[in-house]
Amino acid sequence: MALPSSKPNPVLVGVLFALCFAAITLTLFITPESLSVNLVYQAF
Amino acid sequence: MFPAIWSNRHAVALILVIATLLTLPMLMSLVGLPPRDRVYSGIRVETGTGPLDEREIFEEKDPVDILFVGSSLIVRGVDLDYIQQQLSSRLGRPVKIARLSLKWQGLDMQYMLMRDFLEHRKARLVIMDMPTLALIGDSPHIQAYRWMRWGEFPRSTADLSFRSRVAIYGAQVLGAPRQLVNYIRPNRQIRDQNLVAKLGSQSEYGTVGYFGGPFVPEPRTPPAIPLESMFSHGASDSNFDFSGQPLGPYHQYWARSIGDLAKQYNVPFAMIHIPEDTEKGMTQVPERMYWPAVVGLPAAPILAIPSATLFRDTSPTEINNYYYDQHFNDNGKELFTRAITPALLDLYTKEVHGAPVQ
Repeated sequence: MALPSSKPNPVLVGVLFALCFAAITLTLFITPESLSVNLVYQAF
Repeated sequence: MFPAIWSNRHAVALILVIATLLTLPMLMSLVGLPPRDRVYSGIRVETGTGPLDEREIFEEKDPVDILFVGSSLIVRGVDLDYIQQQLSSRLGRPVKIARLSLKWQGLDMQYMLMRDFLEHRKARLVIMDMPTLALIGDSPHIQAYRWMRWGEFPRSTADLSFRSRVAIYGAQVLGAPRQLVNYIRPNRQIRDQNLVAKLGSQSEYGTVGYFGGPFVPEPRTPPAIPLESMFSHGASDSNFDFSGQPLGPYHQYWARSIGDLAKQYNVPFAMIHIPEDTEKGMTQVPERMYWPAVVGLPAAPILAIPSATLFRDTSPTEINNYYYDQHFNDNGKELFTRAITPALLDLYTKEVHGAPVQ
């Protein structure tokens, strides 16, 4: 199936990458065990 | 090649999803958070005593004589029923002993439990276990994403370093979707009082041997220990070694906040040391810091018994039979509780019927 393809606005792409970067950066500050415990047996 | 972002509409949708997730703690605070008790019922039952904490804080109303606050060490180290019985006999009236705890260590968690309790009920004496080397790092409690909600501890967190505040916000982002579920679907399992009591006691570990080995029943009558030796007497007390690995700034901050809370509510405060398996043979109680100075209550005592004294009449090969890992099984819990109870009764009598701690 063909997807609608129009080149996205570079500003929107920049905002999206900035948000992704912020999310990854924030993850680095989270107590590591919170993430592992969450994944192992306390997932939602 | 399949494009990652195939249109402006797609980019906007992704931006909205990520931005919403990143700001959800603040958005929820603006809309209005679910009642505070939902925080506790939202903590999964596998992680221990959250539902019991909720009952003690939000449902029970009567004042408690002694409130224990701590980690799983205190759950598996102190037999509340025994102390309640002994204190009732001493005072000639029914007494109420309560305990608040969550698994894993952290003074931020202990501050939250103590604060939530004192905002709802009165305690005549608060006793807390302080972090051991099992507390690794200097970041928010492992379960912080379950109970730290944006805007709830504004005055408490404003003075933390930027790094610590970002770590707290990270935990809030991680926990916000679950907090959202608390709006919609409160945990109804906690209405089962038997389940709550079972979770609160962590009784499944009572008859477990050391690291999965066979459980061996052992004598639970402690040796005779002089009462005064179970209390700390200053930073140079020979029964204690206060030169352990210091806490980082984050947990020291919460230690001071705990002391401030005790002052704010004018509640006598003391600390208790639960011996871990690694202390076998030690003639001094190992502490990471001199806690009375750290919490800012110089007269607050620490109740403790060096492992070598507690197990004076026990063969070194049998000491592990009192533990299931770093925690006591029922052998150790009963031995330690019976040994420390005279000091607890003496402390209660002094603090509640005599001179205050501070």
